Amino acid sequence: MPTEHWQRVERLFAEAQEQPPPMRAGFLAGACGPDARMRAEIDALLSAVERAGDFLTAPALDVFARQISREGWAVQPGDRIGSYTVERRLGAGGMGEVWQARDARLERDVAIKLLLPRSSRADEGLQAFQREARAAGTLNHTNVLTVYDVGEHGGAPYIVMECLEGESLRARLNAGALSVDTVLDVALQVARGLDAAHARGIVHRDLKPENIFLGRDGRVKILDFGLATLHVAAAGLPGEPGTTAAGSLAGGTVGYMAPEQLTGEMVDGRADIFALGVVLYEMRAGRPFKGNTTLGTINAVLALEPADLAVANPETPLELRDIVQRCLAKSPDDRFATVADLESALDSLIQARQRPTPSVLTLLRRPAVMVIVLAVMLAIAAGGWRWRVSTSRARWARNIAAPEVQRLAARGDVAAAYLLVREALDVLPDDPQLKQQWFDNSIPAAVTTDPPGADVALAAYRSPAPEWISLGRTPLRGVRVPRGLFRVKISKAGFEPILASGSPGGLFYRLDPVGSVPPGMVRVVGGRDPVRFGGMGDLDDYWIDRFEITNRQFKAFVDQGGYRRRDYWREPFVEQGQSVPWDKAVQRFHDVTGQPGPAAWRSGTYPDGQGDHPVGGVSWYEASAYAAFAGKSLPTMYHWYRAAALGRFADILANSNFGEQGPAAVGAHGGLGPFGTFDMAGNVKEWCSTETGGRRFILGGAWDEPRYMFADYDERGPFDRSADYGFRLAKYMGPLPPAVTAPVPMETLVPDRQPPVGDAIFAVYRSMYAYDRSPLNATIEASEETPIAVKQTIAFDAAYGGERMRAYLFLPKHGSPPYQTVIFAPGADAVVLRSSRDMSLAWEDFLVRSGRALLYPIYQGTYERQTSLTGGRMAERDWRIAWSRDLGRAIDYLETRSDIDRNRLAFYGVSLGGDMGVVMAALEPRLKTCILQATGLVDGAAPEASIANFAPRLRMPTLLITGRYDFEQPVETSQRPLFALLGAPPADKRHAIVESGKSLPMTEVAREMLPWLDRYLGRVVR
Amino acid sequence: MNGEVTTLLRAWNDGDPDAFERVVPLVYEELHRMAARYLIGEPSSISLQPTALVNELCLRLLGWDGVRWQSRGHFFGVSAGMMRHVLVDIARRRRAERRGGPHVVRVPLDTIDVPASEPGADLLEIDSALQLLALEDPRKAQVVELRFFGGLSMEEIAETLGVSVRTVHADWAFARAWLYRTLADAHAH
Repeated sequence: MPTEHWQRVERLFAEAQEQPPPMRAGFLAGACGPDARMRAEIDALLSAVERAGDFLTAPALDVFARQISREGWAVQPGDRIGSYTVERRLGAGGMGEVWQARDARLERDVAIKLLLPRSSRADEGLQAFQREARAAGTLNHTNVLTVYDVGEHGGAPYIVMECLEGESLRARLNAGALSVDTVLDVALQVARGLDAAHARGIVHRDLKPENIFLGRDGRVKILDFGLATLHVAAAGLPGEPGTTAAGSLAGGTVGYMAPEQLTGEMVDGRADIFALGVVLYEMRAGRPFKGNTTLGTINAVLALEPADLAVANPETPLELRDIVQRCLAKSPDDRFATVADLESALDSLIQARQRPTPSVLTLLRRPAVMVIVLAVMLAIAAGGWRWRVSTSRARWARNIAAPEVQRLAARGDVAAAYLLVREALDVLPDDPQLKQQWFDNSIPAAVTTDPPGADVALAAYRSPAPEWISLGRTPLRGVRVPRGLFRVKISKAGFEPILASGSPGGLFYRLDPVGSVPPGMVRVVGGRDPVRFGGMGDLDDYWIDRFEITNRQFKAFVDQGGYRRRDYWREPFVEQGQSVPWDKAVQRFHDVTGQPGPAAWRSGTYPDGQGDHPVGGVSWYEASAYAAFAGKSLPTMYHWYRAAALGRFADILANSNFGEQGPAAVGAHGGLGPFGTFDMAGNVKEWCSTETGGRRFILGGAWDEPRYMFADYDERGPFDRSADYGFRLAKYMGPLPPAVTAPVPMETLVPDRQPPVGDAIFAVYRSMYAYDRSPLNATIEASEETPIAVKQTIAFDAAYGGERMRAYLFLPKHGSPPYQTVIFAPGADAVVLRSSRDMSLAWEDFLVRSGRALLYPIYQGTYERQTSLTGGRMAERDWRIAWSRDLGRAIDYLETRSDIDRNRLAFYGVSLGGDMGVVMAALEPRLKTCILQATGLVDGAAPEASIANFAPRLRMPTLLITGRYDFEQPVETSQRPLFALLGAPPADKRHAIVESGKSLPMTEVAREMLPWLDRYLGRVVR
Repeated sequence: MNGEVTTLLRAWNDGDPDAFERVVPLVYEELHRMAARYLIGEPSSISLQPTALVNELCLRLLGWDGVRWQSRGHFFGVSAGMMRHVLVDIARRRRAERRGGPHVVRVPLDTIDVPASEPGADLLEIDSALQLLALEDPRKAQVVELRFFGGLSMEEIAETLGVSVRTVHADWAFARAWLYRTLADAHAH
């Protein structure tokens, strides 16, 4: 218990901070009185607040990481390693560090490369490594880095090497291309070093400019034979062998690796020849194989021919060009058969050039020094990271691609996961894990166009320079697309191409002949924004600007006298109910220097270099005037929302301008919308024509606003001209119906919610859900094994219609009966899919791993139990009743199983399953707890089946997990109201809001769900 | 590896101090990797919080099946404590490895890495100062441990300790000032 003195200091500290700074001294003088010690303490603390800066704001891991980075991973200056004394650090990287040290016995400087410490389980590998390293080879070669010794220090393996002075080839290349003579010289020396190694059966496999050292004495040395494997293994994460941030695959660096290396076939010395070819090319003309992504680079190496070297750098002798070309042949058989052959070719060329200046080649040969044969470096891999020369393509797919797919998907980058698993499936089409990943990350969809016969390509959404894969030609049915947001490209000869974002479902595009699209605009296919304006009726097709109106575009309006042409200003000027005459109104629309123009412009023009930035600081009137000038219109709120199409996936927010310093050039952030627009989210806010209470809607959010402003309503006064107010235009194809152009009272946008019905009425509703407990006639139709579970297919009689229904029961391998069981209710994709073979299990995987059983019933209307849903409130009600009865039946079945713990049942519903779940769980007393994900107070159902009426009756402990950027069920208008209505006592309900869109990353869900289940179902006993 | 770590951590949690000795080398590598990855930087994502790395590590190492958790707060409390123990222990070992004894070191002056001179850059001294704080006011020290080592949010800390979020904020502000002052004073001497 803190002392009184301490508590007083604490109190005064807080109170002093509440005083305005000038008053603090006086306050403290009064409060402390004669107690100078107390006063001094508090002053010191207040002063500490000022100076503390970012003290302790970064987590301990950060401090730890920086500290060891600064001090050295394994040693510090002055430490002794064997007989060497460490002096200074020469470099550090993800794998370890290189230190310069002094060998006191031989009085020479050495370089010690220390690798990250290994735990004891790698001991056998370490010993093998040391054994083989000490086996002296008689290879001594001036072009290979000399290794003096190997050992282990504090768990960190080290290699003692000659200390070199000079620079790496990489460093030299950064300064520019090299002369032909230098290139030939370097190439020949490297070739000689390789020759010596190959003669001993060692292949380098990671030759690149970083590993080629140009000594000050003119000698070129090859470094790091095989150390690449340790490099990568150390920087990766457990269970994720291989990928590091720097674009290398386990064992090498993409871009230098030969094709047969990439595909995991047998690798011999000719792979080094390929790498040397790449280096040669790069020395003259930059990298020959370059992609924006790792996959892109791999593709280039495997499939593309680099530009002719003599063309890329015209001063290159054709013989050199030919040599390089032969090195870079895709098939090893087409390259030089041995390095010696390459050496001869280089030699001939050098002779032919007969340069007078003494070549570096004639440099003296040092007396032979023992060199450790570094084939043993391959043995470094021992202890878990052994890199086998003949790694199969299968292993790439399984050990590298599969975990990477998992990581991408868990992070929410589903489209990228989809592309990668597609690649991996090409290699291993029958691998069950990859197949499941394919189902988890893709879903069948239809793509149709009018007219048909267009080529469809898709790409990842988030990456800045995505790679496109072709899906085929429309009409496409049942083609698999990512289960998340992606980019799509539609092209057909003679028509304007379409670039837009796509999401799972039915994609339909209307193509326009070349030249018929208004410049800078895109077509929005008619329909409505079902999330908000279901009762609106459909809009017809219309055009909308791809980008916000830019400064440059607006300047044309200004220069052509737009502010003086009265006929552009068609909207009446009204302020606080009073009419304002035109000349008075227009006077207000001036820039900083008083000239007519947007608020932040000067002297009638925009700031230098911002021609492509969106125009900002314009009032609604100015935007309307520009629209008249352009012969177009401001979009209505409905047209704006339809074009923005807020949906399940919030990925657009990651590619949008929110929370930055100012507007960005239009399109720069890459936030692509479903009709091809950019920057509807963020950048500047966009005026709409729709009026509400004398103000006008301005939508989409801006750079200086939080992300949720993309979806939220906002309206401002029409004279207001804040710097982040801008606009884009629409062009209609025909007159608009009056309902669409009418003003919208703000109250109508807030859902009108009736209070829940009383208990007497509710009892009547409840009785509609009852069913007779007739015999189940349950059978287990099938049983198969997955890596983590036994999957049983159960069939039993449904509660109605004489139907039979199925459920899948996953029994965890790591667990013991009787099992706690979670009953799942899926989202709308289950309605879309026809077959439960296509079921995604990503959401439930972590549950089964936690040792619990999972029951996945096939509810009515999902998978094989398709119905032709007629829509409408009665049908919706009947559907909810059916699901509720399906759940009841499923639990009836579970009660017959002795391996299921009937007292520990939980319900887990996602999205649609969450909406339904409120109703289902409220009526099911056999459940202990309920978890709802990605749902909210969804309105519109009949009262006998409405969430609003059932939520208060859902009294069991309830966990609600939602995304902050869920556009369909926003936080304030939908999620929080649902949570408030839930009937569980406050201590037994929780609303976890995750920083994501409606589609939540799995890791976040697991983080919330597992502790919850432990608490309400109990810990799993193994 | 997980099984071994889990068993050892469980033993440690049940009061076996030797178990901790054996678990550190296993966790050491993992931490090194995390630190390397942390420094290299992960591509940004809406849902990635830097402090989540700590919890991710603990979740991954401990899993949910191994140790007996009474509540979410309990798990986070223990994982913060564990994190602190491990990081501080590693820092201490590194320092101890430095061989004593005089030897001539020819180190060019311009290449010595300047040791951190500001408070907050040395984990061991932060830990010492935190122990001092715990003597005066245990709850404040707990708040710092949960936040700095555990990476918890203010709300999560409030939940773990059973106090209001306001209290947590006030504790944090005071503790931070106190620790800074204590370390700054030590540096001045």
